Amino acid sequence: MSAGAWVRVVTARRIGVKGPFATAVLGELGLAVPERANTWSALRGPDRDDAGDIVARLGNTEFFIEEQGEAAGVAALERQLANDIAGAYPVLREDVGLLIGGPRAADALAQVCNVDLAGADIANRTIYMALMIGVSVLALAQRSEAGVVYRIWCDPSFANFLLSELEKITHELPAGSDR
Amino acid sequence: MMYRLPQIPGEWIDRSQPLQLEFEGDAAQGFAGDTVTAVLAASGILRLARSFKYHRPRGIHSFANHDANGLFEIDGVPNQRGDVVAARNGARVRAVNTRGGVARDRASWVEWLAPFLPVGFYYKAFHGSNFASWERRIRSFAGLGSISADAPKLPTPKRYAFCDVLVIGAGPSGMAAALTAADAGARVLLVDENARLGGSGRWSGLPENVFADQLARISAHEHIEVSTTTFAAGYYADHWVALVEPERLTKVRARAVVFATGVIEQPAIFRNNDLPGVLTGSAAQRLLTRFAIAPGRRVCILAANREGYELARALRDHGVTVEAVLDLRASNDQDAAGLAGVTCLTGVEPIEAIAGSQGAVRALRVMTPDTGGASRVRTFPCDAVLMSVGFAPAGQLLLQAGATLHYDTQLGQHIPAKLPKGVFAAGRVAGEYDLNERERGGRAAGAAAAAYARGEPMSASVDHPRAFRQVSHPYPVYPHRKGREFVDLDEDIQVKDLLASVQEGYDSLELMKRFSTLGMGPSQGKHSNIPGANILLRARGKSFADTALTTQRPFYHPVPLKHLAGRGFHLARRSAVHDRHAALGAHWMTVGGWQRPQYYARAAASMADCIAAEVRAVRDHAGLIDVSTLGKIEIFGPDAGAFLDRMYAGRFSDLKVGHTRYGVLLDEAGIVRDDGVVARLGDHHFYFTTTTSGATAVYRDLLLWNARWRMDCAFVNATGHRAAFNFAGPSSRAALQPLTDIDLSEQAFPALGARQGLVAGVPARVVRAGFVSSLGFEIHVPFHAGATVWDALMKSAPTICAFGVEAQRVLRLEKGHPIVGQDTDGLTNPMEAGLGWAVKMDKPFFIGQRSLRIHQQRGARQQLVGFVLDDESVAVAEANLVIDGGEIAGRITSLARSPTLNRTVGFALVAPRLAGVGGVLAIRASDGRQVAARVAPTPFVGAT
Repeated sequence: MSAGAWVRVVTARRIGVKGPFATAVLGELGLAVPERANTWSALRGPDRDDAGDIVARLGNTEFFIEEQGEAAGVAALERQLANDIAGAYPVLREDVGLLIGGPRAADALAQVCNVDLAGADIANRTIYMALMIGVSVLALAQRSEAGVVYRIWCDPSFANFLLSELEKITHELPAGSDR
Repeated sequence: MMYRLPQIPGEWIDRSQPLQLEFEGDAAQGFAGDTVTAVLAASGILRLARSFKYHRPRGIHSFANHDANGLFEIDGVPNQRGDVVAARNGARVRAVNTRGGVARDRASWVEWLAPFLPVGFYYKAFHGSNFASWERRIRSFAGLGSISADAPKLPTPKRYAFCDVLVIGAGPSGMAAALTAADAGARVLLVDENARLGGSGRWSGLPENVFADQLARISAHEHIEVSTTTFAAGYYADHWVALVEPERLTKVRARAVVFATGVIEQPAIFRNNDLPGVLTGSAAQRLLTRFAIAPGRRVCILAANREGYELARALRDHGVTVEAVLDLRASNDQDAAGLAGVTCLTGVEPIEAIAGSQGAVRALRVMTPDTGGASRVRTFPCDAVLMSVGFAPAGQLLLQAGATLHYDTQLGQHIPAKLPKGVFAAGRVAGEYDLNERERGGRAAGAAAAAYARGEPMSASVDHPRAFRQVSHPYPVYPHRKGREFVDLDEDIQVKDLLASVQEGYDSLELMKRFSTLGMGPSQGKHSNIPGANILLRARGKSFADTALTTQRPFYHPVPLKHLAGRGFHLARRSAVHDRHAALGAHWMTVGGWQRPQYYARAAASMADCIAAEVRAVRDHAGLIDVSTLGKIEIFGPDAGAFLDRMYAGRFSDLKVGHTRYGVLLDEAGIVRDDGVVARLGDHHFYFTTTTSGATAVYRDLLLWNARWRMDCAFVNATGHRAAFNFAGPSSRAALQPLTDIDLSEQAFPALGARQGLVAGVPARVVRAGFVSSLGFEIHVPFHAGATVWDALMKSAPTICAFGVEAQRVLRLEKGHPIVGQDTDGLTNPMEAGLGWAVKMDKPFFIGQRSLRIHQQRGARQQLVGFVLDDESVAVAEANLVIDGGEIAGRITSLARSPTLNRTVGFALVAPRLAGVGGVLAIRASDGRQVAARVAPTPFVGAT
């Protein structure tokens, strides 16, 4: 692992829900509903900027949920959606989640993505739908104790490719910030 | 003779770190901070190169990283730009266009052929049947440098960058723009092609303390990022600029761009203006201020502006003898002030530079006015001739950005007349020459760019100082009866060549460039396009005011191909059981971006034998293939069935839950574009597959069409999120049943059924599939559980065999199933493909229906038929033609030797008259022989 940047895989459960009543279903389960499209909120509890468990609103009626550990929220949503609720449809999300950090993390991402993730809107919790070396991803930036980290999700069939390329890049980056 | 001066303030070199490099066997001494060219100059080496065409000796000309004279092979890497490449101790440097070195170039005899090599010679002489032969000879003789196949691969990653304001050029105006924009809160990226900031400000009167203060402020400013040794190579839409650094290419997206790109000094055109020792004034200033190198011991300056006199004063201050300042203008106003003791003449016309013993300049011969309106020839001995006669704007990036430039006759230069939104210009490129003007222009552009980046509207006008002083001579061209007045040093183009082009009718700039190769060398016309255009216009009785500048395509400056290649990413998708395939000895192939097993290797078996064994295993027992690559799409909602009725040619709104139906997807022209199996999993829930390569496009079209139709349904593309396996063969049911809670009996789960249940403990969707075998189950599970299910299926019976894509193609061919895209082409409608049964023309609407009606009225153009090969002694291949009556009447689309039937079968698209079962097809094999095949009913293999 380079001192300049690092990348690792995040183990968590994920699910999606879409449809005109998706918002209502999330609300019934006590899960957060981000007010605006392309933003995220902490899944439950205090709405912290560095929340690990999140709900991302990908459009007016589409949501992506990631929860680590017991993942009771994801399990509850799965059960709820199994009831064939009209207007709230389950989305299988087998995404691979990646966490990229280090002082040169943004420099690593700048080699694979044409969206300005270094200038990501952390304060407004923006989530980006971007293309990284040909792979469609969701991405967001968070502040953490280790500085700004980037969370990325991609289709699992692309994960090996994207991860291996990011590992190559992060290993080549020297230590220290890009400035 | 150039030489190193004592230390001067602000020099770029570190005299505590001497270095030495070798130039074609000679040692050259320099210091850390020197460029390669600077080391050679400081060591008194005047001849650096041989010209491209005539192999004339050449020396420093622009010293601006432009001309071919500064190209070297450095440590085996050709075409390094010595003007800017930092010198390394121990480096081995060679010129790139010599036979035996610069000093004793064996190809220098070529110049004697010059009278026989007029412009356009190649076009006129080498055409017709001898062209290829001549081309090879010329190419082997010409060319700059040679590429070593053993050269190490250097990483050249590409990256993206973003800023509010991009400032290109870090001279006085660029630095002022950057600071102003950053002070206004903009994130600024300041780039400059040189190793240090300052540009021409170092010799334009910028006081050292002011300059140091600006540098300190830029360095400390939190909003300014600086990138030196970086040139902007191209401008693209929406302020997308390609920046080339030594080891990478950066694609910058800026909200606003300030072009402070300065100007490029233009040479005077006179006989022997290419001799070593004849260089531009700004080249001399760079040598002097950056590297403390005097351009000569005794210099003549050809001047036509104030800058020439400033150069004279600077050289004299450093102890260089200024033999004369020879002004091409009729008057020098007050420019000569402070040059007492230096011969300053006006109204001068250069005649020729005179070469010395080693080909370098030793004197300048000119015509000067004499008393009584007469003139006389005078010869000034010198070892350097410095030309300060005019400038051209470095405005090609501005033109690429969409700016319009007009010629200001007072200034003698093109300047911006209209700038597009978000584009600003400052400094000398905008006609601002005096230091105060340049800084003021920079501040104004920086403030305006920052405002634009904040979203404020841009003023339509271009604000320039109106009191221009003339900086460029209108026509510094002095033809000589003996020629050798070089307009383009890269391509050895002389005045007579351009005049000959005009006489031959190539009298527009674009045509003349192509005919004469003006501006096509490494400098891309930076020193020759303006003089060339001037000569053309003069010959046609016109001026710059009558014409517009041409816009060069990016790249503005040559870019190494390795920078464009970048890292070389090769997108590859892997299924959930990729490692299982590898462990089984998979030979890989790429299909639709996926890595798929073509077949599984077996010890001591050929590829054909491996494939045949896999086919037999499926026919005799059961086989398992990974079909995770299929597109997998879900549609939810009350209108899902109606939506599919519109999208597909078949009907799905009446499909019962728990059943599947084959679907064929057409484009609006009624052509088959994709197919798959649609399963109804609930009243408002469908799940369907597409072809591997069609998944993304089909999903995109679903969204697009529903954006128009606004039906109540939602779409999910689960392609990468689900693993899928086809478990096929007569034993598949028995092997699968113990693994699942789904009743697989024929009564409970008949053909075309779809069920949901557990397989190996994993929630699964199971479809009765008959693509490769009469009995088969397609099992779809979440990606993370793919390996679990694959392992369970492989262990479900001892005879289970994994099979790959090649075996699948044989198996489906035996079963008579066409593959869309292989057995159809871009003109095949479903009736022609034998898929008419899947089309429901009685529906009110589906995509392609209207066109299909027209196709039906016109009748089939071709027909897909199965055939068996009667004669297997001749090698036949896919794409071989079907011949009828001496005409092409079709082609083979699929062909395979069936292990089941022990004969060769295939599909062919043929003329409808040949499609009758039992008819004979005449196939022209690859070797030209004709082979008979017989049209046969499909499937070729029945119940297995």
